[in-house]
Amino acid sequence: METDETIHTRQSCERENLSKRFTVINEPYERQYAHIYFVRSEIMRPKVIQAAQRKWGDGVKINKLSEIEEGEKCCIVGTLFKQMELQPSILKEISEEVHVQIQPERKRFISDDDKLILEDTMQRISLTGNISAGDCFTGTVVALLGKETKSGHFNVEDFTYAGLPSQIPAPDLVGNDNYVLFVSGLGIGGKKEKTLQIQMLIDYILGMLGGSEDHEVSSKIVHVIVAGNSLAGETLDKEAQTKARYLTYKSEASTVQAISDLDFFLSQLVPFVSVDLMGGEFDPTNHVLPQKPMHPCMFPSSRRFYDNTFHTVSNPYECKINGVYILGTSGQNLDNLKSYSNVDDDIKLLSSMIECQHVAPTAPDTLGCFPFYKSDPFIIEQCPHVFFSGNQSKYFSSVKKGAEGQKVLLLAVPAFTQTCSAVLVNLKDLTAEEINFEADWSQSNSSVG
Amino acid sequence: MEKRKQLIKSEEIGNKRLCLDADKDNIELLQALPASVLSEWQRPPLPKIDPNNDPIIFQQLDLEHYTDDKEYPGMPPPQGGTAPIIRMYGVTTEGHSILCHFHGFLPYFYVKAMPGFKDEHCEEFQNCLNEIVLKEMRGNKDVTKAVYKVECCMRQNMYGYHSGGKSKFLKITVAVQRLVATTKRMLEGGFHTPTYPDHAYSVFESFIDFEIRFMTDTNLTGCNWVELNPGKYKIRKEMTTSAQLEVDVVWDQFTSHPPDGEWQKIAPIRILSFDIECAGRKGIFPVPNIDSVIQIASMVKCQGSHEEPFIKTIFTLNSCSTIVGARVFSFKTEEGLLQAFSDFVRAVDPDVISGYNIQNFDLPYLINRAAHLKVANFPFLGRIKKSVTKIKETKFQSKQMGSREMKQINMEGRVQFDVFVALLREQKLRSYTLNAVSFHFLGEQKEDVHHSIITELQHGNAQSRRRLAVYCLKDALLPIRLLDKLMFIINYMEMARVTGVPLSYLLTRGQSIKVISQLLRKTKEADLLMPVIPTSNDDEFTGATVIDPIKGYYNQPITTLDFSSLYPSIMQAHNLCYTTLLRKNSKEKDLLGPEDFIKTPSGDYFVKASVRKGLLPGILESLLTARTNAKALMKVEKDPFKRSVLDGRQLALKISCNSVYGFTGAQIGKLPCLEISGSVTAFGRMMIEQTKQHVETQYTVENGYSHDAKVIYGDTDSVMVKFGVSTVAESMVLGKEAASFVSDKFVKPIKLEFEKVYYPYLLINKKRYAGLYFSSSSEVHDKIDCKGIETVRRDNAPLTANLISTCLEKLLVGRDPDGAVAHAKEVISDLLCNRIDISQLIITKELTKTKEEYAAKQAHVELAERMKKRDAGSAPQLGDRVPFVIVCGAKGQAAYLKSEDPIYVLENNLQIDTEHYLKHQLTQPLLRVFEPVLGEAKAQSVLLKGDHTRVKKVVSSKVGGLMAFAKKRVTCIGCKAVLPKDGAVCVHCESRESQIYQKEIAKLSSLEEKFSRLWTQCQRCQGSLHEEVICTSRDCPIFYMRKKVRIDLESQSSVLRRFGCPAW
Repeated sequence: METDETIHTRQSCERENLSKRFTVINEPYERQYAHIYFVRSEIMRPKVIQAAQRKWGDGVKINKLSEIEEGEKCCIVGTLFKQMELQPSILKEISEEVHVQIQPERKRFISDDDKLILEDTMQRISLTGNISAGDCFTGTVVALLGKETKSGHFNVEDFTYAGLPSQIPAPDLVGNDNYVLFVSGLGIGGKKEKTLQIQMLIDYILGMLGGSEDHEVSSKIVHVIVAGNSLAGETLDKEAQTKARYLTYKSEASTVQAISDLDFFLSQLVPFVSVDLMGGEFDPTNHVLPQKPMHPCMFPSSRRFYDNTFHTVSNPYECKINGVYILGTSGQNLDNLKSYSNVDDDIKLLSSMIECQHVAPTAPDTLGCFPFYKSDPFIIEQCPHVFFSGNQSKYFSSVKKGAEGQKVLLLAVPAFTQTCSAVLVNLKDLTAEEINFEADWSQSNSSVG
Repeated sequence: MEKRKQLIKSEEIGNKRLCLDADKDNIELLQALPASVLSEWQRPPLPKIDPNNDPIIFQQLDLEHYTDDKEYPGMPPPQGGTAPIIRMYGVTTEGHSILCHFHGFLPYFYVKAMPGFKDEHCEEFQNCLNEIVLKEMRGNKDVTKAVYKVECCMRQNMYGYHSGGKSKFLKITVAVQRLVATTKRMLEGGFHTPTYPDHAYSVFESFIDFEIRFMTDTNLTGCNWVELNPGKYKIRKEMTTSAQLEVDVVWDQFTSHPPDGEWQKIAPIRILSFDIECAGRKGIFPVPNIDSVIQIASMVKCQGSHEEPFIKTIFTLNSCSTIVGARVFSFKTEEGLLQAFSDFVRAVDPDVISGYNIQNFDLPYLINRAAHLKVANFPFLGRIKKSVTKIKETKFQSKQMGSREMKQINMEGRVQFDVFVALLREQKLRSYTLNAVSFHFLGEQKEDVHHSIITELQHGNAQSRRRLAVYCLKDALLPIRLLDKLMFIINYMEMARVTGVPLSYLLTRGQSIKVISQLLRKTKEADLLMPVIPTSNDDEFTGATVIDPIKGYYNQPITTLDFSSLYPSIMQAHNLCYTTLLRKNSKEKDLLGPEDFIKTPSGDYFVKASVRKGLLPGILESLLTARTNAKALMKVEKDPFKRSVLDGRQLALKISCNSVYGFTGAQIGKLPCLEISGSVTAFGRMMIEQTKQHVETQYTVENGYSHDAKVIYGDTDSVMVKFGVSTVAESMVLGKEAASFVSDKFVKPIKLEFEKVYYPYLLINKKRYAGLYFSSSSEVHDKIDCKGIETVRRDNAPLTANLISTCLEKLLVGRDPDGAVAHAKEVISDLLCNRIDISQLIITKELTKTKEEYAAKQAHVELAERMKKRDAGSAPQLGDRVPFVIVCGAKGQAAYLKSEDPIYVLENNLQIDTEHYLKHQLTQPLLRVFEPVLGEAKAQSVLLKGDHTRVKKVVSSKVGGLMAFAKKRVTCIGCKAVLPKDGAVCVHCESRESQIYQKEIAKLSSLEEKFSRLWTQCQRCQGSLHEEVICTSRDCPIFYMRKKVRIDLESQSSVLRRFGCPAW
């Protein structure tokens, strides 16, 4: 690693990319989505049964859907499915009648008429009772305690997810502050681009901003994770794909200028600190999860440090920095859960993802993903120490503890375009703070979030 | 559901588990339906009835006749060995099924008596006739007396005006209906008695069905309520049918309630809908002699209940896992399965049997299969215990629907309501598959499992069979939902009530029976008789012509004035009828003064209403008043159910009104009268012309109006007027004024009405126009109205329809001709660059005849032949709609040889002949739309020449021939230069690699999004996450798309792979 030679020496870190399971080399486009659900329910079923037995006692009767009998209390395990009237349907969009009735734009697709259904590998049953469609998600594997009613519904009394997965304890880094900086949603190329603030952020990381205290902190930033949406949504010219070719064949991709700006910013950082660049919803990489690392050919300047201090990485991304396990996404998973539930609390959503041991439960139903057929890479086998999601409207953090002593820092990383802030996580004690770069000239820089 | 559970438990005790474990396939299977189950599904038990005190009130649904030689106590005995008895099926308000035998009614018809025939010779006439008829039908044992009675009566021939009034006719009553034809033949051919010489009698009303005759004489209409008064009926002890109550009644000893007021109600009739699945062999359509029936799903529901069907069952061959909400019955043998279904039908005792294409597939298949397997007790699906259900093949011919082969299946007492047949009659759709129809009307799709997969699923385990069962259940449910949604039962019942024919006639018979039934009721009152007219194929009369259109794009309001119910009102206004017709060579005209009759524009003569009021105008008048009444009642009715009944009625009345005109013009009908139909159209033409003159002379600057009005177009019953004003509101005011102004010039009840304003209006040609439609408000348009334009034609590719409708929308709603042109150009470019979804290019045509029968070679026929060679099983059958696309063929190859199956095209990556589509599908419609806007020459040059017509040439490397020796070289993605080795870009493009990459990744990204949305949509539609999508519904708009997106993704990701994989 390069060093800042004035006063402080930049600390280096040990980084290990653990995202191999997110690698997709021969895209299985010929497959269907049934397999991923199947694999998911096969892997999760024993875990969920364990959780159920923990919660309701070992004696609880676990039935397959084909075995339940009306009125008998039992526990059933399966994949939740939410039937939603308002869910955008491609079928409606392309069917002939559509151009008459325009579907209103909406951010949320839930309504009071949504129905919850539990499906095991064989059949379905619709759910009533103590479970609300508003805060459940399609694709989660759950255990339900209840009875079948006369009308053939399952009346739920209680339900449980698999719970926190087991965890390798965090390394003992006592007395040794070292930070990972998370930033997301730089939004380059958009109207809201905060060019000046981005430069301030870079200067801050490089130790060229603020006083000595800041410089000390800066020197302890061992790693930077850019969690997606480095480019603004506007750069994604969706029309270009639908417009007639004779109008577009000479035009350039709409992301060209923005990407070269991003390259410029990155090229300032990578000589001095290691950077992981994740793709996001608006970045020039593939669309469905897991998103592939952005291609280095787009970063001619930073490319010199590629594979050294500059890495483009997948989304979701998992790595180990100085022994601390970090797992997270650029935020599509969280946004999708929000659109299809009435939960607003980022931390609650992150927490339920950890509890159902899945990074993206709504994939593939409402969130695009590859049709995996042998594995479900989104299952969280091992509990990370930091679980983050990028591109949220505000910074939030919270520590969640598990029954077996697991401890996870849940982190909602704000979009830089919205808050002009990044998040510093101290690997020593897994504490997080927000640092703000609001370009208010009277104040110099930081503030604690 | 509660019952279901209880039953499962009770059966478990008896060691007969119905629900089977998916993992273990060999649990004991049920052999027959347990009696306990059946009793749950049966009708409510009948309370005790005292025939001397209790009336029986029921809604009759169907009636038919049979012959019987037995004598029943209290009933008129059969006189000549055997007698016809009318059997009427009905349901009470409580849901009990009633069967009524009406005794003593005999078939009859009329002949015109010889001049000078004396009343006292009736007996002699009868005896002679009886003798010769009996002789004619030798070998017949059961009839001992053929002609019962000959009476003299005073009647009048309906056809043609006679000043003489009534004359003498003979009413001839015979023993059974089939003797009517024989007797008629005897009389027509020349008949003599000792007193009267040989004479060829002219016959009247011998074509009337026995049931219709009975209904007319007893004032029954279809589906009305019948009341049997206490003491007037006898309860039968030995039941011949499965009805709950069987009674005998003398034919005229009952009350028939006209369907008004309280008697509009509808009994809770039971509707059973079912669907079967067969295990076909690969590639061959199932044949009942070989392929077994593996599942039968049924749903039962009562009319009027808004709940889910109360019985949902599935009978399966071999085990099947449980299905929540449905009862599963599994059988070891197919015989057991078939027998159980037959038992089930009898136990549930439905009044209506429904399904999708049951008439031509499911029912015949079951019957044939049962016969093949010798399930002796199967074919008793009707209510009559001893009646064997059989299949009769008939050919149905109708001007409206063309000729169709039909299978008729007798199921006494159950009305077969095949939703497929009803839809074919009522709706014009692109596709009639259950899937397409459900999507169109219910907004939901169903899985479409290809029949080759069905066999695989059947041979799997209990779980895979469960999957099939769920599919089968849905197929049984959808017809019921369609019945509800389209209100078929209510509308058909109202039609039966209005026209007076039994419900079942409406689906099995043509239009004319309805008019005959109505006519007969009128003629009976007026002592008129309908003659038997030999069918002939006379010359056609000219149809409605139009005022020549002044083509153009009118960016000003165009007012449309319509004659409301033009043809019926002409018939009323001018008293056109059989009874008022003065025949060309008749002498009647000489007896009348010139003021007593009119000459129609077609040169025919009719007497005026002052001399004699016509029957048809009378019928029309009562129909129209009834319709006005129904509409008025509908407005005040609050109960939504009653409102829908009234709506059904007014609709039925409207349809019957219009069918009267058609009936007079039907040359192969029973009573064609071209003088009437010809006069009607001639009057229509004249009136359109007159309207034009009136409007154009009245609305002039001279008369104080701001502009001279101009009639720019006129069709059958409407006239389009350009008043010259610039706002919709002004033209509406003028329209209303003009309508009443012109109406006053015509004979009542002819009425010109202002209906709508088009603004703007695109008049392309005769019967081809489009416009933005304003009627209720002058501010907001109601819709875009298109006539005769490709948006509605079915034999075009969807691309054409969509393009034209979007262009029209831009032209009319957006008033943006430039935008419309730009859109057209983009679509043309997309087409030529192969970017149009294949589903947009699919043309479907119905395979109505075999290859030999078609005179010219046709694309879809050729394709069907080729597909048959590839795979006889999946090839289209006669009557199917064949979907195809046009692909590139050898140069100069005929277009009909270039048709290809869309799936085959996708799978083999064949190239679409985009130029063919441009030339044959887009050019003409586009030019038609744009010529009025741009002018002829300009439309050509703007639309069909220029940058956007650049073609992306794709070299299709079909393996074989020379291509086997060709080696494909890698080219630079940026500039297409040949690359020396693998990689993405050439040396010159290296600096632009990032840009090139970004362009390609953006393409991939949007394809991926589409991929995931399409396939998850299919999962949602099939209702399962854990099972693979096996649906192959070709009507589904995303079926081809999801296949195409896979292929596109493969090729796009291989392009990206050339850039090298980033390190992970």
